[in-house]
Amino acid sequence: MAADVAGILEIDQDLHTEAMLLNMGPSHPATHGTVRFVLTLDGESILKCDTEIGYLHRGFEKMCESSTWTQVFPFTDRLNYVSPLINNFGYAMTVEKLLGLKVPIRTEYIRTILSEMSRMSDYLTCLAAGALELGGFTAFLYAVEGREFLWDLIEEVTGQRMMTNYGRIGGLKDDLTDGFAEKWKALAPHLRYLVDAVHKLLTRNRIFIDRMEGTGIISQAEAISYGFTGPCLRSTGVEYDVRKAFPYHAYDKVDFDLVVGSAGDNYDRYLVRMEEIIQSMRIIDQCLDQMEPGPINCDDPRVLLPPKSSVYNSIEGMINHFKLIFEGIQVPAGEVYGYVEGGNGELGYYIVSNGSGRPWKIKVRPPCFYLMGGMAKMVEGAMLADIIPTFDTINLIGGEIDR
Amino acid sequence: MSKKALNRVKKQFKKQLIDTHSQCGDETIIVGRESLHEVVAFLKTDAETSFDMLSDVTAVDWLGVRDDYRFEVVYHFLSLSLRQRMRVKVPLTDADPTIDSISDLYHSANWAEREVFDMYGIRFNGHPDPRRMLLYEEFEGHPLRKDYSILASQPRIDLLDVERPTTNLYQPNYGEYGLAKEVH
Amino acid sequence: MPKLTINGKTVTCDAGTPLIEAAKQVGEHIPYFCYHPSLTRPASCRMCLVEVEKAPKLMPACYTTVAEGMVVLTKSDKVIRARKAVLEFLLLNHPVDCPICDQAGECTLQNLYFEYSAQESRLKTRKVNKVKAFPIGPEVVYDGERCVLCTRCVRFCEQITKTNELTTTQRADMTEIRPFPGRELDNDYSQCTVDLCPVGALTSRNFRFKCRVWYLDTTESICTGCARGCSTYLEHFRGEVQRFRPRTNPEINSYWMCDHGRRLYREPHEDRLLNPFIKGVGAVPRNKGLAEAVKRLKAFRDAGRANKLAVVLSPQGSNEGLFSLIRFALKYGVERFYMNGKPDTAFTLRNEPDKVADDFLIVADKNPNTTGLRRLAEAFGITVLSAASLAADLESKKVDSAFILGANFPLDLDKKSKLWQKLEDADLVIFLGQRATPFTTLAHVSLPSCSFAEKQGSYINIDGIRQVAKAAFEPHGLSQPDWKWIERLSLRLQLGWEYENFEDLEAAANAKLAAPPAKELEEDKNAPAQT
Repeated sequence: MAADVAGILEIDQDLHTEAMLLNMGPSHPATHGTVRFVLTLDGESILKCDTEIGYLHRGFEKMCESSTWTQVFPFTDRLNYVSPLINNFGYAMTVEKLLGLKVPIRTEYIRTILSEMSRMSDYLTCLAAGALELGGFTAFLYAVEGREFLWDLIEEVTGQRMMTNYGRIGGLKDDLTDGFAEKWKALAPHLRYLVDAVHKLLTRNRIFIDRMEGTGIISQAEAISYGFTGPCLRSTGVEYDVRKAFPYHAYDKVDFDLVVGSAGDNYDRYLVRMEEIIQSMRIIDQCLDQMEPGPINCDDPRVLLPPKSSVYNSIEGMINHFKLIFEGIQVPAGEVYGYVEGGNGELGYYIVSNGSGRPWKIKVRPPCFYLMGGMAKMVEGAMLADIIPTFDTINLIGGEIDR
Repeated sequence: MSKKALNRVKKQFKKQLIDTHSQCGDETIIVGRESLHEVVAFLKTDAETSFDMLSDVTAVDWLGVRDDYRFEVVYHFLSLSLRQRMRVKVPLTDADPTIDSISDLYHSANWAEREVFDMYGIRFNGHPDPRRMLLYEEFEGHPLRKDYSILASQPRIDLLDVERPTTNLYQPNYGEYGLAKEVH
Repeated sequence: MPKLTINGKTVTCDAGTPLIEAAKQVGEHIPYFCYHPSLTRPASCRMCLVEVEKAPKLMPACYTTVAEGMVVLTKSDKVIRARKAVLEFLLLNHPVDCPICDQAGECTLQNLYFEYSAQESRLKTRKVNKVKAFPIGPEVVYDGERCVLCTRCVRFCEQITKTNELTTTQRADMTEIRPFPGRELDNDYSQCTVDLCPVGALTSRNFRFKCRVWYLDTTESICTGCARGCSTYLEHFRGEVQRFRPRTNPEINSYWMCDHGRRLYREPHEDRLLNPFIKGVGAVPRNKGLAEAVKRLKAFRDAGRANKLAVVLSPQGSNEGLFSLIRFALKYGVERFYMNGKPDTAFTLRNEPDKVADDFLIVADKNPNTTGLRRLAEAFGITVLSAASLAADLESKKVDSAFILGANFPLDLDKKSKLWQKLEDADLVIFLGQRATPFTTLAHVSLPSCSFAEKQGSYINIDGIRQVAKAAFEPHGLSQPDWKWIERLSLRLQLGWEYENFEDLEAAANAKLAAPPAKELEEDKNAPAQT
């Protein structure tokens, strides 16, 4: 890349050209997310791309320091807001690690199922938006239709399409609704059909391949150095998925393939995501088969809110509820790093507790923060139009990168 | 999980390590800031540790809790080949919150350290691009410090080109290509 | 000095120490309801039972004293089961009152339940009902259902105030605390029972339903009701004092505080002077008020009448405020100093309205810093005359104007009105105080000073102990601490001010207090007899 650039500049010496500054501002129709690129262009080639983020910074970490442990859940929803359940469960899992709490097996299965549904809706959103910005409106509609059906199911279980607030420390808010398995079995073939339809529209499409293949390339070593994880790292050929490497929830009880690309370009990232949707469907099917009825919350009254009948009718339940709400769960002092496979990669929570009912510090390791750090590497030397597919396949979610 | 790596580091850096622990299964070492670069370079290259990815950099403010130091810069490392993790913590005092940057070893440190500066005011020596990460340039203070009140408000910034000129504006990083004319 | 082992840790303590105190020395906390370090120990709540080796049953740690070679376990299974059982019994008839109970957030039952029990109720029948809000005294309300019958309040009235008002009545699960027939809980320390009560059975009428305790910020302060200067915790929320709680201080007030001092929680918020006031003009901004005062003081001094200015010091003020005022006055050229303050009859004992002091905590002198004022006067070598002399001296033209600190004058009504008449005719009256009283309309310039709760200040009590009261919240309105006004006046009048910050001023005042007296003092013929 650098050689081309130098070559371009050499020829242009005679023509007295200068590099142009283009501001691809925070609100741009083709970037879904508020990010500003300050591009130094030579014609259509990008000489330097300066990425500026922070437009959706809401002070998540500061707010967590003045909330109780349970009050943090709605904040975690709003991190990667297209896959909120993964954020919820990641946080719950990390605090449970610090508490030394073991959740029942049914909870692990439900968390796995809902995480995979969130992941599918995240990938479908990414693919939809990607296709849309490249001009393929039909593919957008098919993918979003799939997402809508998934969100219907999620709404049935959690009560909300997006900001679910469903995880709890020690378990879940509610069990799965009756008939969930039947509804999923009815939905799965339709989702399969929609994914196949998107494949038919895009995967062998001349224009799509020309725009996506060979653009936004990053090598394996560079990707690792920049801290890439998730589909973007797997597209370069590294076989790293948190679900396989450090299994959590019920991922060690189900069988699914690790999807790995090779070229590290946008086309591979697209293919990795498409295939992972199929793998997610496999996981959900297996979980539903293996699940047994049982409790969904661990038994510890120092962590779990008592049932309302006990709260209003007995002093013990009242005191229990009172202390948990006003003082929060007393998490022992210490620090822990918990990690899950988010929609974009390894979503980590670094939690420091000072022994009280409020966190001392919660740091979210946002996967797309590091992906955006490598964005400049991927587009410098490429053409202006390559920013669009690169940015799409990175799947930047503003809530997660800015927190 | 990474006991072998921890033992290897303990053997290699007996003098430089201030402390180690394995709370909740996370191996952690605490080093002084002078030895940070050396230890991290070892963690990256040594065959038994081979931490090829810097997962995260952050800091913790212990104001009011600890007297001996105020900040702790926390690095999380991940080894993709050996499937292990390690946490490195470096204590810093209030009077001198500076530390060497490790962005020459890991590219992910570039943005992560910028965010730590933005939120905590910890300066990284040798960082190629020491700007704020998430907050705007004219922001006053460092919000994640414990003495920054959650109810604090910021002063109004004068309007560009109406109340203050564009010339002393913060410049994005144009690299060596310079700036000719701006087109928006 | 017997040596014993508690939870594996050895401790050596004095003979006669109960196990609870011995355990505190090694950092082990044993829960209790009825134990209190200053009351007798009935060992009736059975919450502090611990396992002692070689003892057949569990022993109450409050009653059992240390013995050589004792091995004590405070966290063994037997002990935890016993604590769970005691809590279960106590909670059987406890009403589900947490949302409406004042003690929520500082309730021993809540804390202990969470630490030890956390089990569900096994009660299948109804709970016993008792009278819920019985006015047991003019300042205290008793809730029978919440009472755990630790009898701390009964023993307090027996042993500390020695007034014997309360007793347990009825039997078995109908037992209630009631005052003896024909009496009520009306001694001067009745609200201490509210502090003692581990649950929300006894609540203070002043504080009932006012503020949840987790909203309260706590500041260490002292009570300014009398010269005893009991150490207190000043608890405030959003810049308003909500209540006082006594702070344990073995030298002054041990664990207690009188009701009259607690009632002063309203003082910083009543009738406050919040703006500088200029006679004939009205309320003005701070700088204008200051400029007016400076102008008048300058004119006065330039006319050579500085020695005719009377400075009235207040024993309600802190040492730092008095120190700066006396220095300023001496540099200005003032020769005559007077003292005002609250009269001894500012409050009297509730049951004996003709007595102004008792033999426990209440002292006759109702000003917190009389000793401090006198010591500063000695150190500076000035004579401080009483307020009664002021009217006489105004009459005889020894002084013809006044700089008055504080609005409380220990005079009866007609003497006070005579003094005001004299001041009305005076050439210059400057008032520096916290209350908006008729003085503010009378004075040429009134400058708002802040209450003791809004500034840090040190006060010396009747026994000569110096205590520091910290600032709880920002001064209301445009008020400022006394010493800050004096600093500004000193600077504007070119009288010099060499303290960069409050710590330096405090150190200087402290040094002056420790200095020996400067010279022999004149006698004040008009002073009332010392009590």
